Amino acid sequence: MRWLLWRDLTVMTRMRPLWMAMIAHMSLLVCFIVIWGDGLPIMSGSVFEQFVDLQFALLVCVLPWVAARGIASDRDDIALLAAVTARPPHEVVLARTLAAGLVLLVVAASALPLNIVAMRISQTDVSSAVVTIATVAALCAFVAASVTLAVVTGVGRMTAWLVGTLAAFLAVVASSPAERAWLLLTATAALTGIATVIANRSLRYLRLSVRL
Amino acid sequence: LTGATGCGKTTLLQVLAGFRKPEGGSIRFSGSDQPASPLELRRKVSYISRDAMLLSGLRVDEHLRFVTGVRRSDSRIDPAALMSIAHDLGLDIKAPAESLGPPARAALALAAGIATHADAVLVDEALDLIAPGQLDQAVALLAASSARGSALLIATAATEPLGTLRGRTLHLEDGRLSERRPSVIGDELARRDARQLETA
Repeated sequence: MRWLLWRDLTVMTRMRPLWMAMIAHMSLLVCFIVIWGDGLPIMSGSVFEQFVDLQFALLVCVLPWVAARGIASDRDDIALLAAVTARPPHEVVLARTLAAGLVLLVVAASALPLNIVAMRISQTDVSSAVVTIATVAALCAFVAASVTLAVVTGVGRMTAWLVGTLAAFLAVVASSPAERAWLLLTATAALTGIATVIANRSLRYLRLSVRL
Repeated sequence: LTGATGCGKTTLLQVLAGFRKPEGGSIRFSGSDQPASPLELRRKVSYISRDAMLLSGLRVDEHLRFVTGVRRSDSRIDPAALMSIAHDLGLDIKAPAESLGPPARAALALAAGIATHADAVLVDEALDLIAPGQLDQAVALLAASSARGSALLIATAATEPLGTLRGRTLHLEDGRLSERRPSVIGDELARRDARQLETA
């Protein structure tokens, strides 16, 4: 498992979209702090709350894109990796989900200094900031799991991206901030379990269309 | 394993390696009574295709370390030995694996397949693609692998690249395997050598 994780992390961290997403995410949040440091008049809540809302909106768009680019071109890629490495398909899927989750966490964590600045501006207590950061981490895991499941079921990269975006949007909109982290983590565990079962059943052999 | 292009050599090797599902029958490994599962086959068999697989994003040395590290259960990989194999086959270890041409990709596939120390090594026409300058080294590495105890099955469209390797020759035609006389390849090479001598 550690070799699979090492490979996936190495390949994903060399992807240009990862760094583009990180720069876009940070730049927009820096703009928010610099231009609307005293809060947007059209939004309610403190600067920190507005900042977090904006960050979630950005992450819902950015994370599924990075995940769809990094996880796999299609399910045959996962089947081939399992075949060449002589590992069971579920192990490949787990490693890929974990690696994607960690890479997405790096994207989200790139805004951590800005989170702290927004927290200081609105004098928010540390506990609510910790809850927010935990929720962002849970969102990263959820997006990684949902995009992986989409890829394992056989959809293309574009559809996987759309599925990931829609799932992240619904999960964020349909849950209250207090329960969001637990909801996302529970859904992540369920999606990962389904993906591993499907992988072991349908990715046991290479399809005839896969040419080596 | 010889046979015309498209006769099914690759399919047979991929079924034996546990990559493809056989349409019928079962595969038993090393005298076992029980049919081997695909995962068991993959662990015991190293399949070397014409093209090193899973190249995206890794350098040659990283690809070699990854494939051997993930496949070998003993996890005692000697990086120097790995790089020595790569060097013998003329590979630039710091080059991005994706940038390699077909002969170098075949050489990388061969290096990774040999370094895994599998019980059986299946070579799928990779020798036919190796650059002529590296062919002797490739054959020597396969011979060393065989001497270590790995069973060796080489699919080839040609007879000459087998060089100094000697063994049984199986021929695949119309979906059926037949065994040719062990000396067929040796005879062909001997006849060629004799012709060259006569010409001289």
